[in-house]
Amino acid sequence: MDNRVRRCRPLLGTYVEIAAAGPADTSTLHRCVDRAYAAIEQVHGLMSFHSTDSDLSRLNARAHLEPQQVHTWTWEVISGALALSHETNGRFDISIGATLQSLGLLPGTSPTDRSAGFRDIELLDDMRVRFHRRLSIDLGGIAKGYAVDRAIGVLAEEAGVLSHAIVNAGGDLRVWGESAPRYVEVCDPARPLEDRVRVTMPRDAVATTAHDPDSSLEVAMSAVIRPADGRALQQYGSVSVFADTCMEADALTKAVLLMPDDEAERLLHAHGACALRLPASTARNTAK
Amino acid sequence: MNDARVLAGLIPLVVLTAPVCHAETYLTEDQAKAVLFPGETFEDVSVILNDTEIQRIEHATGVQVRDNRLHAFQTSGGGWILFDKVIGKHDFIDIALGLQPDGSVKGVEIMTYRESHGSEVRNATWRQQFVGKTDHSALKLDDDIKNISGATLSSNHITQAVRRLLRTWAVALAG
Repeated sequence: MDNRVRRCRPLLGTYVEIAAAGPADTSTLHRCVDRAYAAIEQVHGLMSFHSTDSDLSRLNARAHLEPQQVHTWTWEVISGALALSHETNGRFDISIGATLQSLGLLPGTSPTDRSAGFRDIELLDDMRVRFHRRLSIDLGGIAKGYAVDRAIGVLAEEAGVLSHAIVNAGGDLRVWGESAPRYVEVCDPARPLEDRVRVTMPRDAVATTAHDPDSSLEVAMSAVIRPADGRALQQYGSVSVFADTCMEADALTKAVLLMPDDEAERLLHAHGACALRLPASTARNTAK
Repeated sequence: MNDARVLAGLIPLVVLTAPVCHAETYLTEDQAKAVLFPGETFEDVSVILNDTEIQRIEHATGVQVRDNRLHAFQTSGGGWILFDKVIGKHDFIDIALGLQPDGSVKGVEIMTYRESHGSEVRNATWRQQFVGKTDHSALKLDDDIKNISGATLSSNHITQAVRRLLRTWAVALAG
C-alpha cells in the first residue's frame, strides 16, 4: 500500500498543491515534493515580471540594445510562445506587458515602441534573445503551466520511489504516473466555490482561464487581451484546455478564448488537445 | 453562447458535484515541523503580545494583528517556526512559517485550508447545461483528493500575513 503526502504552498501569486504517492516512506516523499517546489520557485525567479533580477526583466530592460543570454527554461518558454503566436496569428501574444501595465494588472510603466510586437522577438543561438524594437513581454499566460511541467519533470525522475504525483498551481494541473487519479473538478466561472463539474481528464494536463462578472472570488488578477484593439476580453466564462503538457494547455486557453469554435477546434487538433467551454452567467441567464 | 461545449474531443463529464464547505488539511503542526526542519527538535517559545508590541507590528506593516497569541518554537538548529491563522474573504487558513536563525524566510507551508461560502443552494441553470452530457458509468467516489481547476485564488493575503509575522518575530522573539 502506497504512502501519500499532499502539500500546499503560496507561490506564483496563488496556491500550488503537490501530491505524491509511492512505496517510499513519507519523509522521502516530502523531500521529493520539496525538490518539485524548488523547480517552481526557479521558474518564478526566471520569469517574474515583478522581480528586477529575473531573465524577463532583463530582457525588457536590455534586449532591444543587445542580445541577452537567458536560462534554457526561459528560452524554451519564449520559443513555445512564439510558435503559438505565429500559429494563431497573434491571438496568443507575450508582447502585451505595456498593455497589462496600462490596465493596472502589472506594476510600473514601460517605454515601448508602439509598433512593436511578437514578430520583433528573435531567438538566437546559445540561448540568446534579441528584441528588434523596444518591447515589454509578460509570460504570465504561459509560465505557470511551464512551472507545473518542470515540477512534474522533477517528480517523474523518482520512478522507483513514487508511483504517481499531481501538481496543481492555481488550477493549472498535471498528473504523472499510471495510478494517478485522472479527474478534475471544473468550476462554474460565476460560482467557483459552489458549483463544479467533475470531468475525466483525456490528457495529462489541464489549464483553465475564466472571467465572470458575477464571481465574487478574489482571483489572481489577469486579463486576456484582444489583438484587434488591445483591450481586455470581458465576461467570457471559461475555457479549460486538456493537453499533454501544462505549458501548452495554459497558452492554448488564451488563443481558444479569442477564436470561434471551428478555428479553435483546428488549433486544438493540431496540438492533440481538447477543450471545455463554459458560458458566463450573463449568457446562461438567457438560456431556455 | 449559452451552453457548455466540448471542442475537439470527447471529455466525459462524469458527475455534477455540489460541494459543501470544504476543508483540506495538508500538514499537522508536528508534520509541518518535520517538513520545514527535518531532524531538528523544538522548544516552545510561545508568547502573548503586549499592546506596545502589537502597535509596533501594526505600525510597521499596516496589517492588523487579530490575535495577541504568538504560537512559536525555536529549533535546535537555531531557526524558528511560527504558526498562524490567516482570514481571507472566503477562506480561513492555518499556516506554518519557517525562519532561518537570522529571521529570513526558510519556507511557508499551508497546513489547513478552509473554504467558506454562503450558499448551498444548487444553481438550476448551471446543472441544466449538462443534461444529456454526463456519464455516470465512469463514476468513482473512492478518491478523497479534489483536483480543482477554474478558480485561481490569490494568495496575496498570505504574503501579507508573512510580512506581519516577520515583524512579529523581530519585535517579540529576536535576540
